Amino acid sequence: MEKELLINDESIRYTLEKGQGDEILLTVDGLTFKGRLLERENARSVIQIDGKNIQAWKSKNHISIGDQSLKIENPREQRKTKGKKSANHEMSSPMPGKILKHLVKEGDTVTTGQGLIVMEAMKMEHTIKASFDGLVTKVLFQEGELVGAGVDLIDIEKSGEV
Amino acid sequence: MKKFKRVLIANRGEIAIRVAKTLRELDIESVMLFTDEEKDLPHASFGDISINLGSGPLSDTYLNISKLVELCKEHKVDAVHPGYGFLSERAPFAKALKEAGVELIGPPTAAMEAMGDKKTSKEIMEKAGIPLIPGYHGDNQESDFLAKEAVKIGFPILIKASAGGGGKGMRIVEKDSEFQEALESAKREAMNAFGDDKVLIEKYITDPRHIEVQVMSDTHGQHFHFWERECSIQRRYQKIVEESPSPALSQSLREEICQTAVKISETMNYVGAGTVEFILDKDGSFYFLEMNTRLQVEHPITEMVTGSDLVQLQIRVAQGEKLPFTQSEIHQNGHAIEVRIYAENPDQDFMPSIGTIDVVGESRLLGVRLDSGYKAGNEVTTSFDPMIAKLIVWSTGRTEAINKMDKALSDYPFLGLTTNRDYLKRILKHETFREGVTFTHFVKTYADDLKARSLSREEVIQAILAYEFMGTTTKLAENEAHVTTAWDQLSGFRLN
Repeated sequence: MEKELLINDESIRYTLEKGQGDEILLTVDGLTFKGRLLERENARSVIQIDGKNIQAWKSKNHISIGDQSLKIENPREQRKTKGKKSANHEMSSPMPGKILKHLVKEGDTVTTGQGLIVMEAMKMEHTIKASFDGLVTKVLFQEGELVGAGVDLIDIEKSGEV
Repeated sequence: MKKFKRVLIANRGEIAIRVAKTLRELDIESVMLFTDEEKDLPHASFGDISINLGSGPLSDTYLNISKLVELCKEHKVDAVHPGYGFLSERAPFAKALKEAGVELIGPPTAAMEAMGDKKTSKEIMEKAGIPLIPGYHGDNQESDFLAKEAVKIGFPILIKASAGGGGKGMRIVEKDSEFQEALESAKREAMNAFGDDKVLIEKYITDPRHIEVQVMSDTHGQHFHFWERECSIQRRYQKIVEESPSPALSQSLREEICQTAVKISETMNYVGAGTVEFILDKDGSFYFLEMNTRLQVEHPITEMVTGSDLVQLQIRVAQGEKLPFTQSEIHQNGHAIEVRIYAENPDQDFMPSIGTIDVVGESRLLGVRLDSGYKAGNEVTTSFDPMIAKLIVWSTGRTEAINKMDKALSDYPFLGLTTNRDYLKRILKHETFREGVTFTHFVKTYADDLKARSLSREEVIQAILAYEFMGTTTKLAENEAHVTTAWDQLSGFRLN
């Protein structure tokens, strides 16, 4: 069956078929891999992939394998809950805090990595940086204002987007 | 000689648990504190007696001196272990306990006060002939005056909060034109963090290493060192990877630094556990930075290489015992590494993150030590420090220990919220780190190398299979009922 997953926000399409015995055949980009579940214990499993054992951990939307923790979502489920999240959520406040200083103003052109806003959270200063090039269309909070977690702090129009 | 029967731990999280473990081993009852918010955290129920501090700001709970002293009396406590942070270096707490007839498992108040102020501590060190970094530590706080002093010292310089610690209120200034803005920002942060915006300025050493020496002294005038730790891998001036021994020291330099630390203990008439921090320059010269008059976060690596229990020694010293060994019996054996697992996002300037820990993990290696303040299901909030756990390994040599830590981190994913785990693994795999070229600006210098890399095809395959095999239900409780795995789906598919 044809399936799709969002791994770290990137769409991956693949097919699954039943193989020999308890094997599953996974095909991605025309390449097929043999997988088998060897052990499953709560959030932990051991999976055999083409003869090699891999330990994996899984929570609701996250998986850890080897050196990487990654976000993994079923796009069908994700579409149900999304919608309110902004496209530039990297430039929202990651936790409650206070806006200390604006480093840019409306109408400024910014480049990726440029500091936009200094906020204070947990007694430390943090600089919110631009995650893409663009034009500042609105700064949403005044200096000194308190903000909650996950709140958009700034609107930026992406360069090249009309 | 005293023998404690009941000790109150004036702390929380991993350090409260760590101290309670030693108390349990020594057959001493432990009194643990927790707040309403922390009812489900492991430390709340770890000891023999649990006390709920209620809710409110820290000043009403863990930092409420009069309340803690009252609790000591009410529960007939013999002594208090303060852990690190919180009240561990607050002289008023030490004094209040003394008045109440309760022993503090810590240094004499005078040593705490002298070392608590960076300026006083440097004056004492200067008199004792301990090497210091050139700088201005005076009372004149006018910005123009400080700017002139900065020029006199020569850029780059470092601005530091006088009352500071943990990197708060600290700024590096590369040139004259950046000084004023950095000074303002440092003062603002110092005022917020410590209620005092006084700063000092110092020569900034371009390629420094952070070397610190664990010291331990008893009430019988014996002063020991337990060798050094190197803690150069830092972000936001806070340590994230620590090791012992340091790869930077020759045996003679090691002896010299450790002897200097003992000399400081002697000068201070120190008692208990302490850490003397030094900055090591490329040419082998080293300068006194500060002395922390408490147990340090990274003390476990010293325990691993010296085969000791520093909390046990603290307790024995506080009971008035004479430590029954000599300096030459304290050996550094093998190599130990600690990493600090933080709820934070390394790809967004190490900003603290919040969320629920769904999965902690489990080791598949020999003798890995996880000192964690959280278990699966616990929530990490903004109320407390974002450090959620420390992972400590020991092996025969440095390379072996690095490899072991890398593998150990694979076993502890701390899934559910954003942490620095993957980032720590990238540090451990970095060639320069593995060569032992670890300066305090390592994380900055190699920022590009340490960025999250995209997934390999292999990893994508593993992730998809893990996802399919482990089902798509949200709950992963032990007795869960409705898991749909790829296998079920495929079987169903075939039946249809």
